[in-house]
Amino acid sequence: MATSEEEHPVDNDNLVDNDSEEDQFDDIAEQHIQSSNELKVVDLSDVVCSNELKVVDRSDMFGRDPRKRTAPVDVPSDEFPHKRFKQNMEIQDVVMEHALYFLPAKSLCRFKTVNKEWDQYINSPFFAHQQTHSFRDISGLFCQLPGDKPSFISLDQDAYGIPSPSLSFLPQPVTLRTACNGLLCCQSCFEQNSYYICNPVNEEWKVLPEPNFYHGPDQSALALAFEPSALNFAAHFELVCAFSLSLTDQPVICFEIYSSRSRSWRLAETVCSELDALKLNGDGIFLKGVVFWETFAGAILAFDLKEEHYGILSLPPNSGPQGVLTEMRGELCYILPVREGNSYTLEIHGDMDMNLKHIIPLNLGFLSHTHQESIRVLACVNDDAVVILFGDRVIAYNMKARTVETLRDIVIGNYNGEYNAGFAKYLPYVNSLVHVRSSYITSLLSEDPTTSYSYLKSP
Amino acid sequence: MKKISVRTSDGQEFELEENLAMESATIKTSLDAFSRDDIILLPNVNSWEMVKIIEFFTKVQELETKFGVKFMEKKEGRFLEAFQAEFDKDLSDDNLYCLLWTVDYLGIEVLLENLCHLMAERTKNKTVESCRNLFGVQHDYTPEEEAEIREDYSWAFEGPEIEE
Repeated sequence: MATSEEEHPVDNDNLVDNDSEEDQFDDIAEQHIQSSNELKVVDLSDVVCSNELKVVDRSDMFGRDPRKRTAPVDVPSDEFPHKRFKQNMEIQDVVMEHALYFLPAKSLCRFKTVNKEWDQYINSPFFAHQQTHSFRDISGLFCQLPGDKPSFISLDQDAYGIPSPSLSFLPQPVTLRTACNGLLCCQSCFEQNSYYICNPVNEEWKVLPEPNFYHGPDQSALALAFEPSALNFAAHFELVCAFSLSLTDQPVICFEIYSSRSRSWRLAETVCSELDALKLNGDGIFLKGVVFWETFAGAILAFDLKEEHYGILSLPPNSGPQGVLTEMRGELCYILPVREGNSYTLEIHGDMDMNLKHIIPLNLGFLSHTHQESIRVLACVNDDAVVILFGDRVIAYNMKARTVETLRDIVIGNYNGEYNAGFAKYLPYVNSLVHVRSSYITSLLSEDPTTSYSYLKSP
Repeated sequence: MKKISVRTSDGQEFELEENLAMESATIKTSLDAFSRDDIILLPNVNSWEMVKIIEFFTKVQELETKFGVKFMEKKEGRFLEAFQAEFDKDLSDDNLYCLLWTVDYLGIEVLLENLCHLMAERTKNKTVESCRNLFGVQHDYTPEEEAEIREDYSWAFEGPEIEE
């Protein structure tokens, strides 16, 4: 590929000597202002009408490779009194300072070998913090059949991934519980009271102190609340457990909350005695400050973490194990697959009443068999796509483009098409660099977090 | 509404509506200091870049009117896939790269974030080698050093497009 480097060779000597560059620019600017009447006006129609915008003659000011284009050090100061320029700021600096944060962890780990500066930059705690805040795409789903080890289904195998999908870095075998923005919550298989919070990318983990109450396996549900924000440098999170307690002869739902700030569990004052909520159906999701759990009684139990109030929403009347409560375009919705003969559609329910908002036809093409396949919606990912378990395949369906992509061919484990004990858990996961270990964070906080290049020392 | 005149590096003049011009922190700063009747020189901005920037603002205004949402004020989160797809299709990697620099220079936060998303989308599947080429980055690892890191992160080098 012919690069513009061939046309405009980089003059490295010129880049190094700042003074001469300054003078050079001033001269050019002078000439430019004086001779602008003589300059030919570029005919924009040439530029705009072509299918690919060519890099128009870049030798206007600098006569160099555009990638090495430098900002002028000193523009005539009466034009720009508050200078934003940095000395010799090159384009790759802009990319580093702004664009790298939007990359997923797997790509970033690979790009550590681009060069040493990138390695240092990507390793810095400030970078991990920024990336956690900026990169929010669902990167794949963690999957676990009862009794099996966890595994990971990536949405893009080049860009999203983790070193150990079975989470073998944890001290004990675990059951996956819930995930949120790069953090995973698991429960030890041997010790019911041990919850782990981990990041499968950097394999950091911590075990939470034992809760004060017994979270019975059938009568409790968790939700992890982690909202990366510019200020949340220490990656604080909360783990909420809704569990059933029989105080008198009337069972109620209590909420025990673990806070990473206080490193302790606390029982919320609010108690829910609504009958609809009492049979909790699985772990929940966190969205905009509220956690949501499905119940078996056609209702959704919501808990506002700030106000510590609960609320009850209704699920659509035809909800069931084949549907899923998930997030789409920043809003809570319930997605249900519907089969009519050999054709399938997706019903999208939303708003407070979970009204039917959209019906999307599922063009499964060659996957539609003559005999009936079981179908289950697993999650909505990145606004436009839905991950579906169709027979023994996990597929990603793009609702806009109406395209299907097979993510995994055979679901490993005991598939028998029935929704019983063989029901697998699928957790949407974000490939972020978030740091988990608090001691690690505090040791790094002693360094100036705003220094982009503070070097990460291995723990 | 008052129009602000700017002149790009190749001598092309553009008239921007004042509220749009003010989205650029750089232009706003110079407007604060000087009269709005002066032509602002933008020696670091090429005319094709200016065209793209105006295109962006025009599209945003269209969508704001259509959906009644103030996208500029939101300034966060994922943006308008509609316009993002349009931007994407006729911008080469090099052009996107230059535009990114210019938008950063002009201080147009909202467009910068969108371009960064776009850049990241294009870069995330790349091999290390093509990443170096795209950004013109100097390769300064010794073979031994590089081999060591590759071993530590061997999982990151596995994938259908990137296996070397």
